[in-house]
Amino acid sequence: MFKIKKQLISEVDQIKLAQQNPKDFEPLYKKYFLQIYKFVYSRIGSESNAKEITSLAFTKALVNVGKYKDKGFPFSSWLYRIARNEINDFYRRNQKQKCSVVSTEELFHLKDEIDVHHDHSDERMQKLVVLLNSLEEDEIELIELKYFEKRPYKEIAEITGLSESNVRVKTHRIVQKLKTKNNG
Amino acid sequence: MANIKIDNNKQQHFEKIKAENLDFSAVLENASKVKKWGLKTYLLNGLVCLAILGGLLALFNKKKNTPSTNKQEVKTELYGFAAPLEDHKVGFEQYQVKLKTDEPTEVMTKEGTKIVIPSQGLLNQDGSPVKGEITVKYRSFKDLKTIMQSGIPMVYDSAGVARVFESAGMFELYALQNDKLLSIAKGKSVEVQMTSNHLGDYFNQYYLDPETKAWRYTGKDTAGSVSFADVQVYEAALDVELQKLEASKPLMPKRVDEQKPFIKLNFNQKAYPELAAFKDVRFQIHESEQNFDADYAKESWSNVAINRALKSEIYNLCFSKKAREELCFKTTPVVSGRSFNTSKRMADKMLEQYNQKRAAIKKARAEAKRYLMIRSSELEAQKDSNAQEIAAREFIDTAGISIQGGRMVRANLSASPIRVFRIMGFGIWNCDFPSKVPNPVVSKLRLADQNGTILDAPRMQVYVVDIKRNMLYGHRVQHAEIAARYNNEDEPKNMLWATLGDRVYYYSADDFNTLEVGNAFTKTIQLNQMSAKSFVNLTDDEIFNL
Repeated sequence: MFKIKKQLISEVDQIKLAQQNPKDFEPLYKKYFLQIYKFVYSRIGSESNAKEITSLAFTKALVNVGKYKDKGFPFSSWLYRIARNEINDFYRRNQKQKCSVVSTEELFHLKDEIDVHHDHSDERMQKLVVLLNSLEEDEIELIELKYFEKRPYKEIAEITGLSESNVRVKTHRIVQKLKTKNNG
Repeated sequence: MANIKIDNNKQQHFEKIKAENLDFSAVLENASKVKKWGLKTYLLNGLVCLAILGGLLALFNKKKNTPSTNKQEVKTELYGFAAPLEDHKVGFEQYQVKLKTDEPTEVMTKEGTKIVIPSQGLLNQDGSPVKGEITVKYRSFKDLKTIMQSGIPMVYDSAGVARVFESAGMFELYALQNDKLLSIAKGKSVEVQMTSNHLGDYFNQYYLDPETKAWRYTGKDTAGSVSFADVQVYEAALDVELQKLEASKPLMPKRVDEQKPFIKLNFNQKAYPELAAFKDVRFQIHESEQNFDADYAKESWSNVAINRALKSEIYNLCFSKKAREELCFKTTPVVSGRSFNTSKRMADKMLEQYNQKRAAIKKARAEAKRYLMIRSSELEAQKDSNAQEIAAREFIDTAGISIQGGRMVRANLSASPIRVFRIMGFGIWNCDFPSKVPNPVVSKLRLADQNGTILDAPRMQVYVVDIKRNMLYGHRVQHAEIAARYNNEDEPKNMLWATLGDRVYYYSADDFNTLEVGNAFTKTIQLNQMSAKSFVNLTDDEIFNL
């Protein structure tokens, strides 16, 4: 009976409960752990580091959940934003070059966007990787969020702290740049 | 630079993580070490910080909003149109020039427009001829964004029928001396060779009368009189320009392999523009080369020729001397390890410039092709089979065309069509075509912001813009409602823009396509918004991708 009651609680109410009592954060943790882990792993590429950073991100989220205010974005965007900051801290501390771990399947969507031939041969996919490697780190982040993780612009704006229109314009410019290079 | 790693087992990895137990207790324990669950102190500190920050922001904003005055700029406003984005007017370019006494004085603007002032062509306000140094003020409005920023009305009254201008470009020009506006002498004209972003031979020229604030027809646009042949030549020349550019596409530097043989040469690197980024260049013997022997280096050679197959990365180095046959080796250009990073950075930059230039030429070529296709069918419809040939011949005779590789090429081709104006008064001129105000397509709309709040502001300016025809229709807002008229012919590309204070609201091109045509106010549309500052930094193309 108790379990059923818990499931019926809306996310907004669950956040309110967590703001009163940290133990009530657990359902939110369980709901979003895998999503945030995927996000982190795709930017770190190491299981142990990804687990540590995900754990740190949730710890910070729990510490700060009292300050969380609903601004019309999904709660997950707030978590992504914290995770993103942790990833940036990790790279700053370790002075490593940022990496992005993608599967070939994730690349297809972007490939179709920039290449009119829709050719998914190994050679063309390899070329796409070379092109992506020529991008700056902040540029690849927008590509990851839009094309690999297929997030709406509004959410990307919330995660990156940019305005929605800025995200749209920047992403458009990057795709144009890739198109030009790809067809050049 | 990014670092992409391909991992096709990612999904399986996530399945494994999902199956693991999620340990919330560790997170809770870590969080407890950081924070005791009492929020009051944090809140108080936060409020104090916010108050200080708020105060600073208020001060900053106050300073930022104070209008700045440029004492050097002389007011030339003959028209007094209110710009919809008050803090983001299109600025004038100012040029100080000394008038020549016995020949025309030329001014070249940043965008490539040439202004030719005839000798003895300008008068002071008392009617005396102007000598010495003058200031030329010029600004142009060629795309939808700048036309909107100008606040200039784009409606033309053609014998009592209102028409909207499809624009090939518009400019505003003044000449001043000692802060006083000059005029053009009677019987003289200032020639303005304006670069235009739009092809077409159907444009007219108009002057915006400062007295009546109405457009006055001044004649056919001169670029149109040689149109078909001109565009054919233009297209052919673009092909040549493209081939030339592609032949010099920058190569990406590779690091020399010190373990394998390479040749170092002193040669004229400028003759090989594709190697311009290569610092400290060497030629590595290609792995497929069987004829190379290191002992050849001990011999003395009198001549070397470097040949590159078109668009190839292989360079044939041929050494020769009088008494012996020529020796040729396949090589690839490389750079020393020390120079690699510098060369790579330079090559990346050059490749980006190359790609931009190539894309611009291709775009212009596509537009020329489209124009020729439309114009050919128009000429076909006129059943005047000789007209095209006669026009082309006349043009060839008069425009100095040469034949290269079986195609017509005009020397000194400009990247943009030139619209030549001969103006007899300073002010605003345009090269436009008055289109019929679209009647049949009307959508009656209520405008709201992203929160659904109705935008009922009497000062709001609303425009429906058409990027394909470079047209902008102004709409009046009455009780938050507009009846939007627009073209929805083949593949329409419209947007709705609204300006209010320092914000620009917009309804994207994709959303616009979903609008229903109707005469009842049934639809409330929610507009996105951005700051005017962000908006004016975008190109039309970027705005239409919002």
